[in-house]
Amino acid sequence: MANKIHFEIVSPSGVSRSLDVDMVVLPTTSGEIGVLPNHEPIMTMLEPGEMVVTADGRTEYCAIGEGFAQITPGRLSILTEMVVKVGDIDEDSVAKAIERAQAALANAAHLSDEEAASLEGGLKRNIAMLGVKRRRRA
Amino acid sequence: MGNNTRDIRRRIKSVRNTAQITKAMQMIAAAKMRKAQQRALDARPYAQMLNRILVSISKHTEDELHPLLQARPVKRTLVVLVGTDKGLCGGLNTNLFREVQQFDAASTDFVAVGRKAVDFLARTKRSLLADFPMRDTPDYAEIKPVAHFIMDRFLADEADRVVVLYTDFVNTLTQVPSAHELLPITEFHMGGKPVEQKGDAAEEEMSVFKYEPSAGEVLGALLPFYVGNELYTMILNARASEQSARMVAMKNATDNANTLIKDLTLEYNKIRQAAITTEILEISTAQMTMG
Repeated sequence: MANKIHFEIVSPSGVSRSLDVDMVVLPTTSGEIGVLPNHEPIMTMLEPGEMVVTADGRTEYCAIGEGFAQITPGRLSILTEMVVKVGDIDEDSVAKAIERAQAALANAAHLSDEEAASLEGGLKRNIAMLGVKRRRRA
Repeated sequence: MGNNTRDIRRRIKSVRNTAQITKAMQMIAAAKMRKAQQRALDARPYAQMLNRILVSISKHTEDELHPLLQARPVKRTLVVLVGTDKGLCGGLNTNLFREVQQFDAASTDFVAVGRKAVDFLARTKRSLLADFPMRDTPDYAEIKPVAHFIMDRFLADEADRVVVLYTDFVNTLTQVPSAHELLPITEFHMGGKPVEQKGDAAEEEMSVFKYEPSAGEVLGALLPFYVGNELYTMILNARASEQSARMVAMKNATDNANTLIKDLTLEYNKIRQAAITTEILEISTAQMTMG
């Protein structure tokens, strides 16, 4: 029974999830990593992508934005600004948001660097969301 | 006589309407204040964790200071002025804007949050670089552009110091205008207050971490999050202050209106009674002469 890892997601809008899980797969900047209980202590950066949480034999898929993961043998804390469960992703609206962002980026001449950067960030998050949704539709 | 009572009645009615409106505004402000406070409370675990990580990483990266941490001689200052959008909140904005005077007009640029701040800076002919409209209880996504803007200015050497001027929420009755230096980061804060130092145990726990890809890079990526979160907390604080100031102002207005209603009613009754007395007097006098 001790073979669980406590998993929590902390975002500016509060602690959105806090539970004991068997395994979590995270998209880090240096590739996907799977985190099991008794993992070596690591502090790493996350990039937008898919996060897979396995608890009690059930598997949950989430899209996650940029963030950080702090891993200790018994605890996995994620610091992020965005996390969405696959079921909550509205494919159409995300696809439209991507189109809009791409269109805006296409005529980037009249955008400030600032706007372009924030658009790109949002785009990356949206693409990650869509990717997760499409892959898990089956 | 009839004219007079009608006037008073009309005034009572209009004052009562005003009281109703101010009462409603008071309750709305109370609800919004709670919301802003709740937001600030919700953000605490995030801020705490961010700080815990930052404080320990910064101890493990000795090599070169991150640009956001480097203090340099101050030639230009950038001030983020967090005002309100609407008035009717007592002396809140006036008190806050008085603090602007401590900044030299020639070497200070401003970024405004809230319409009142924009108006003030335009009126006093300060150099206004940008203004960011913000809802009553902004969420984190709305703060990010502001944070990016000020970090870009700082990193591009266009500002050597970034100060946030906002109204700190102490409690419902007390709000203090305060200036907090956001950049360069010389000491880690939480919502404008210094972080209390953790014991050695927490320190030990953190020092065993392996950093991927490297401590320096993780720190570099974390700092913008830290700046964004600090700004977020301060703006939420300013919003809570605004709403509580408005709540108190509106409560006073409601109380004043009620006192006025009471006085007017008293006067109205006096006149009414005087009229009745005169009438009775007239009737009885008439009867006596008849009898």
